[in-house]
Amino acid sequence: MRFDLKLAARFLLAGKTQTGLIFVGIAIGVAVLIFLTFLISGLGDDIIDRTIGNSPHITITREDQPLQFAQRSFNGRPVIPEDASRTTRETIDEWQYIVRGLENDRRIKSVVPVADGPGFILRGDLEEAVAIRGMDLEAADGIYDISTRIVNGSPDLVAGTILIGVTLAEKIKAGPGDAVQIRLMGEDPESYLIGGIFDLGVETLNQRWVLMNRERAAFLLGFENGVNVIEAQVNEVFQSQYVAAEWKHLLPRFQIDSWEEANRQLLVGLQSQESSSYTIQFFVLLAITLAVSSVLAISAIQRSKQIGILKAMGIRTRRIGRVFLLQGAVLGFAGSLLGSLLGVGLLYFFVSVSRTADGDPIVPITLTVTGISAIVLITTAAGTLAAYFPARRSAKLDPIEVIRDG
Amino acid sequence: MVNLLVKTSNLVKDYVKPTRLRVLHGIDMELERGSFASLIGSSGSGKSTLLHLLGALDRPTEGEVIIDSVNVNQLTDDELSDFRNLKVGFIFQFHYLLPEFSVLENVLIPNLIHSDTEVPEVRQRATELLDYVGVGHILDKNAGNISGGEQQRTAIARAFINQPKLILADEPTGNLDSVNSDKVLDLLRKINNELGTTILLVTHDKTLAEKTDRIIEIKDGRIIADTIQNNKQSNFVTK
Repeated sequence: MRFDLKLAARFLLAGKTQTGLIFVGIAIGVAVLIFLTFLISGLGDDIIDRTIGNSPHITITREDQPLQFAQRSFNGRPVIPEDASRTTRETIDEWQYIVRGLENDRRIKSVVPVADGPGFILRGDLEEAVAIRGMDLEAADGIYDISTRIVNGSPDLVAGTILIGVTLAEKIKAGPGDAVQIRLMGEDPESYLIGGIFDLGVETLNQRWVLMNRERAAFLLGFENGVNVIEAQVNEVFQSQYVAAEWKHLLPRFQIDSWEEANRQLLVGLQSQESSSYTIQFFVLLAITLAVSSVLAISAIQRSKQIGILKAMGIRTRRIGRVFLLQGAVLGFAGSLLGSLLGVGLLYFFVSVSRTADGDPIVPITLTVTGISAIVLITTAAGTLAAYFPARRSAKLDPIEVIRDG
Repeated sequence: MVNLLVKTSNLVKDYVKPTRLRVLHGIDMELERGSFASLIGSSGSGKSTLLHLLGALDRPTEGEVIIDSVNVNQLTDDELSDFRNLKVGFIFQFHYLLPEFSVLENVLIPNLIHSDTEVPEVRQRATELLDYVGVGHILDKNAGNISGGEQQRTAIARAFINQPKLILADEPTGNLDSVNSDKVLDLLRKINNELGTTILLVTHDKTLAEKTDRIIEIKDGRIIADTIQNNKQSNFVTK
């Protein structure tokens, strides 16, 4: 093997220009491969993060008649709460057991029991329909990261204090320390103090959500310290439908939904993006493979005399083939290493020049050693594969023909 | 008692492409160990074909080749490769050195094919061989950058590195001027005398052949003459 490697290296070094050009060619191909792969992957991750990064991946409620509330009216207008399907559901009496079970599932990273229902917020003459969300702030941070998204005031949810979104605050012209009233349909209003204003980055939530202590919300909604929704986030976002299906099997009386089922269009978009990435990767690899193959085919012809005499001197046929496979592997490996450096450099350059007004990268890119190693490995394999036909051709060379033809 | 190194029996070789052509017609030949013989014949007489069969580069259509008590016909392709590597040394008209390697490395190649790694004793032997053939001063020069005579001498050293039983020299002086031709032939003679290696020289040059101990003449695929030279003691057997 050492001699075969030495032969391969000498054959490559003998054609310096040829080897240099293909080496640079592979490096550029791999650089493009790394740049596009991580860019597209970063874009995909960013879209997922923006879309579901701060949303529940799995939602558990009781099965019931979801449109019951929507049929009601207020001041002659139909009232369709933020999430009508949820607000009508009965409480989950055994929620503590379910939460404990979910927390013990290694695939699940955050669980938030929620007392959730529709209501109205009043300040002076101003009144807005809202979604009352009672949750423990610490648990809620696992999904919504509320504590770090308080733009005004403090993130405390002590009894009698609420947090509202920036849009709602503007609408009712209120801020931290201001008193407001909250009432349910047909019930007397109760007074609360605004503790803080949050910005969750989603207009609907900023406009509709009123966050309060879970026990307080349960009391207000008449749930007797229960909850009617359990929300959870999984570690692997694309596993949520399988995790949901398994829990559905364990809790057949409950409605268990995953984000994937509710976001088919987004999934199709992400899959299309992934497919385009694979297509680009395939064609770049194909170009590398063809380039290596053609260069080695020429090399095989150029070295036919050497191959002939080596065979006459007793080198076995498969070792000649191996010399060419090694050339392909060396080209693929060395070219992909240089290409990786170029690609990473290109990504750093891209990230440093394309930033938002806040100075954050437009596309957050996470480089992984595993990803780069995989590309190096695949390119090396492609280079080796590309050498297969030149290797076969060389191995078949008859030394007598070489000796006869001089 | 005759100590044979090479024996061929009824050796026939046909080429089927482009048309079926019998090149060798039942060659029976024997070479004694330590002999220095030449095989002469005009172009197309079948001498190179016979050389290829004796060198285990090709397989006969009929008959058998026995070298050092091994029936070459019965060897697999890999065994044939190993056989060529260890038992036969080739010297060709065109030296076929590998220009990607130095003079010393070229000489080491047959051994590297066998052992894969460089053995210090073999490296020492290669250096001595190159000294012996008169190119010891250019060990580290690139094989592509030395003269034709030096290249052929290097090729001779390479043929001997694995200490083969048989050296097959196919027109080894065909590409050299008369001065270098004489030097190469003297060198082969010296090696034959001092190392006792069996040498079969293939040439179309009768003057060159006359400098060997025995001349086997081939014509139209048949041996037509087999002559001892210089009144030397017989070191061959003919049938």
